[in-house]
Amino acid sequence: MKGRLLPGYLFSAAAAFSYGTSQVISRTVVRDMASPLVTSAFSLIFGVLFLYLFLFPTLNRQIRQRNSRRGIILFMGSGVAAGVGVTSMYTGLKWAPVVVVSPVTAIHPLLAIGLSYFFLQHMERVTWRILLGALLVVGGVVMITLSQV
Amino acid sequence: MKGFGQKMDSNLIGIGFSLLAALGFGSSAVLVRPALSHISLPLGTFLSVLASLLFIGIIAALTDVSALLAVSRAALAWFAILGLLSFAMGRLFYYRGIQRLGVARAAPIVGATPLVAAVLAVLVYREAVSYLLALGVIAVVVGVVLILREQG
Repeated sequence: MKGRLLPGYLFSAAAAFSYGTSQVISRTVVRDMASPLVTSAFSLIFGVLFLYLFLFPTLNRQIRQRNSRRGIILFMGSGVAAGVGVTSMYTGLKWAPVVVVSPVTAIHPLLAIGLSYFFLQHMERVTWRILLGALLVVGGVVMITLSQV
Repeated sequence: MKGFGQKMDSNLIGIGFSLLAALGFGSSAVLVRPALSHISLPLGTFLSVLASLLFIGIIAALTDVSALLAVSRAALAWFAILGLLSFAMGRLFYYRGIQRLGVARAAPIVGATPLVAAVLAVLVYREAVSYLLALGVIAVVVGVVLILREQG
């Protein structure tokens, strides 16, 4: 592993840890306190507040600058796409059991690789090793999900 | 027979929404990569979470407004923890990972989230470790190691 890539792997692992911990907590919250959609909406309000507090000096400076409209649209598009992901997953759970919905939703890294192969050819390099690694991760995630239902 | 048919239809609709969910999560990561060439990561992450809030907030308000107004104080504390973990830290770290590694490497590593959740569930809730869970963990670990070993 090249040293320059290490921070990227650590950030990705930290993201997986943050998401994983929140999944465990949200199981209890969704079971005992509120619906998944209400939980997501309120968690997002707090997410926005925390991000603003953490990044306050940087954000304030950057908001005042003239920012690229393309960048704003792409980032907001990314947020809406994630929102479509969350609401579609919960809607899917109203129609089919977790054992059906979770494994299908788990293929999202493969779709991300496929989309980046077609649309980000000038920025991304998709190798057989990455594709095989992603297939194993998705297969493993499907097995982990099925073991818990 | 009619009941079986209805169940199949219901499952197919569920699969359709699940595919849409996977497409949403996948395209969300792909959109970030070019966006980082135009705008800084902190502002971009903030805008992304804000856009998610607007989208989900509107849908929640249209479909479940009474539930939105009926949340308890205890629930608010949990929502704050979830917001911190999932949307402040999780998304910021994920986008930082994409910035450093690209989507093709960062997405599968972050996609291994259920591994973390399963390990925590075993440790916190004392859930049993089945053969399928163990096999899944091994597959995820081997997959991540393969991605880590990719040079260049």
